Amino acid sequence: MHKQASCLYALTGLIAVLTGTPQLQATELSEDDFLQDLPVVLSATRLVQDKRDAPVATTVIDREMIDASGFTEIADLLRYVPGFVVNYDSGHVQAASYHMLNNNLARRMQVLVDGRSVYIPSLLGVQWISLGISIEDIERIEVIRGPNAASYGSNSLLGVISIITRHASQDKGVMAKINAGENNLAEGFLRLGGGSENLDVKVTAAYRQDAGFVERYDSYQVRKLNARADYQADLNDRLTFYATFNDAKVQEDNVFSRDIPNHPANILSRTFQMDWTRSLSANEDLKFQYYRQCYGKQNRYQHAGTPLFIDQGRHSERDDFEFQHTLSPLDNLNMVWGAGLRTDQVFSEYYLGQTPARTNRSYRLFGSLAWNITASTLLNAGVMLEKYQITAGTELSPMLSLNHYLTNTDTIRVSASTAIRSPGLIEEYTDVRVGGNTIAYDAGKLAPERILAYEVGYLGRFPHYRASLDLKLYHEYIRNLISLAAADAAGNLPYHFANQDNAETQGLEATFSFKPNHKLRLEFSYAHAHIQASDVRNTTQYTNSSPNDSFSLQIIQRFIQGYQGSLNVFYHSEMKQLATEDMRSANTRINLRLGKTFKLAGNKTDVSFTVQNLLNEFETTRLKNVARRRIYLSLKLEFR
Amino acid sequence: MDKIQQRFCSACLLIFLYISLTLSNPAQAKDNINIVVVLSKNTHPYQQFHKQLEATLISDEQRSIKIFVIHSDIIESISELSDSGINPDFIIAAGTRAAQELIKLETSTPIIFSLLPGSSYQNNIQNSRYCRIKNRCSAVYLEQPIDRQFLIIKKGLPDIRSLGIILGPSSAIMRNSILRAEKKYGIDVRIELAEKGNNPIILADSLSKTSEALLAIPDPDIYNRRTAKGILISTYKYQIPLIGYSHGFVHAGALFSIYSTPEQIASQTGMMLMQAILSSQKELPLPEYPHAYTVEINPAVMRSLRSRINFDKSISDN
Repeated sequence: MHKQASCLYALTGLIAVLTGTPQLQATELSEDDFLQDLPVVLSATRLVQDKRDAPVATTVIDREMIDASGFTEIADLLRYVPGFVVNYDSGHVQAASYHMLNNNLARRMQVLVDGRSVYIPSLLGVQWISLGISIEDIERIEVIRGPNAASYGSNSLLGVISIITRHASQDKGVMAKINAGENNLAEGFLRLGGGSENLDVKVTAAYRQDAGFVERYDSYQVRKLNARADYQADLNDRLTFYATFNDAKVQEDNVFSRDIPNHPANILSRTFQMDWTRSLSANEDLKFQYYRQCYGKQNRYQHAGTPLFIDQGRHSERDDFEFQHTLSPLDNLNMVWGAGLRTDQVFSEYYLGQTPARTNRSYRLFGSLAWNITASTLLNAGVMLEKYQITAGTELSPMLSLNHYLTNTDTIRVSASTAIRSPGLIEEYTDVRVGGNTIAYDAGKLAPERILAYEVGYLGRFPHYRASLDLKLYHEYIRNLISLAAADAAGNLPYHFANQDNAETQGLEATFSFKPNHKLRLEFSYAHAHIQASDVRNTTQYTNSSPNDSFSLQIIQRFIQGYQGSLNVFYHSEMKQLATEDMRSANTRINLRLGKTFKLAGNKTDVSFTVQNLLNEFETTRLKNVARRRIYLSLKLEFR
Repeated sequence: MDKIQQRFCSACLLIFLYISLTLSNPAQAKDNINIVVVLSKNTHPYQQFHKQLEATLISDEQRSIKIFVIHSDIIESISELSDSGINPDFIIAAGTRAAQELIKLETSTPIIFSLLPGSSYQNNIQNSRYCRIKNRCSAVYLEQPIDRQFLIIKKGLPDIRSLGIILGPSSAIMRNSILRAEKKYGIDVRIELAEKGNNPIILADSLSKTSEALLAIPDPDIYNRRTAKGILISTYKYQIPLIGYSHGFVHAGALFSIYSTPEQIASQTGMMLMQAILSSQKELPLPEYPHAYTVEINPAVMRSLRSRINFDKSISDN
């Protein structure tokens, strides 16, 4: 044991030397410590808006909640957000959406990682296993519950999920973590972080394998590598670089069709992002962002019983440049305005009927302001102007909200906001033919989907009890929903994409947070939703795409000697199953986690035991996604 | 106190000093007093110090005050002044480097060590061979007394119940003063003592979880350019404010800082010098903490953290 400890000490020292971890030595204090300038850290761009001032309801999932959740998949964390529905299409295809989850792609949400959209143009959605980051990289997830195109642009139709990774300065040294459990779960993470006075760098490598659902052919292995560098060029200029590499080997099946055999597929995605922020003052920033995203899926199989090979491969590239100016021209006025340019390219002979790429270039101009009209009234107003190459006309999405502080602790909010979802290239130019038969065709120009949402909110803080309550009443009108239309009422081929549905959603959401002391924390959220939709093609596509009632509960308790426990309960009433009109029954899921934090040779060590789905409650539907109880163990070592 | 009042008070003090000087030696011939000001560097803060010091030291009918400024080759430059017949009556050292050079002097000129931290004076200057002679040395410290910091925090953030503080090798000595202030102001203080091998960013992260604000106590091993960013990000992660001790900290993202500007330190140094000139034995008083200070607020951080500070904006108490 002593030898092991010595080895760990030696390793720690070596790591400290390698990574430049700040070590303490007695240094004489001088006037320089008082007179020196320091680089702007909390600039106007980085500062988030307080919940009281936000134009629409927001939820933050922080690191403590993530650690205590017992989840190993990022999408599952959204179960804590009231109104969110998370479901699995297969073991490696997770779908998560706000208010309306009618298919496996959840294409009506804007999902950002460090400000970079991870929406994949060739997929018309987000692939959660291909984000390039793992759950260990996340600092917090900010969820904007409602449309907010004025700030986030197209696709922020139902809401915005903004994933923020940990700053490189927070992750110095080495972190190694393994998770191992039932159903062939094996995960490994290795993170190295270091730097100098002006540069912080970290690199994370991660591996995950999972057997998927027992009755499906959907196991997968994912290898991820990501790097982040934060460089302080001078006192006011900050550069941040991000790069991700994600390689997933997945098994594909089709539980509804025997024509598609079980087969393997490969998904490769890469991103690069560069942000340059210049702080003109504590209240004024200029920010330039560029990112490039490449995604490719190899998916070739032999059509069952025929000599025909089908290649459903797809590849896409996205380049995006944005400029943003954040400023406070007056004490009671904060503003942001900017412009962006994006080019999407999709290559897919199967879906587009041609080998060359289809391209969609878009331009955007946006601005918003938060104006304290009086000491107790805040006006948020914003607008986004978007122009897409593939659609006619220019789209305008305004937003307006009024937040009134009844007291120092009580705020009410009334807002109206709009957003659009521009049709994707595959929707606009779809041309699928198999063996000479037309499966789907391009039926002409599609209009963007559009939402108008009204919201009344209340945010109460009860400092005496260290509690808070967040209530939201909403009514949303969604027009021109795009979905596949059949050739006739019987649902025969060929299909085409059409603006064929409208929907109205209304409901109530509540979040209660209680932190009586530093050892206990309780987070509870509840949502009641009701959807009325035209559902032209089938009877339940949108109407039942959300449960009427759902809730989540998280209780985190810290005990003495580093022990901690957490209980996580999730419930939803019945709702439509993904990809079918079948109904999922009401479901309760409980995750239990017990952990201990201690020092091993001076280094922070965490061990934990997690039970997912404690009650072993699962649904049996035609999708065969039977999620049984799973136990896994986790060991995390941090050498700093 | 508004600016007009502050200026009025400063003017009254100068008039009082002027009258005292005039009445104390009515029949004497005009004295020539040579002041040598030694700046550690010739950069902006030191120039501000020098400029304000000159504005404070005013010649009158009884005394002619001549100021000579040195910022390089300190010992040699003072020797050159002596060689040319200018013997300093007083020396003012601005900053640590100037102080460390001046204690090597072979003369007996009284020196006011200014614009330097108290610990720097107490550890390296006060007990030097030069300063062992009674009343030959004094100082105006740069840092704020702990009691004042707590008073301002209590005034600015009246609801605050817990305060996290990291102490390192240089600041550990402040522990007892902090514990006294904790009792006096009824704020629960959580202290993390940084030992060799500890990463200040991790300590800040841990304290930020359990405290309602973090108070930065100057210590170069804890707060420096390399760690400031990580510490600020930790506090921001838990949505708690950091209270700093310099303009640099406010600029970087602290909610507010309590500090004395070089001008404020220079004014006090000038006043201390005038008292010495007026005293019959030309004796220096005891070292002093700054009388005047500034509380500078970062409005963007204030808005973001929804901190309700009981100051409308930055204040300056002269």
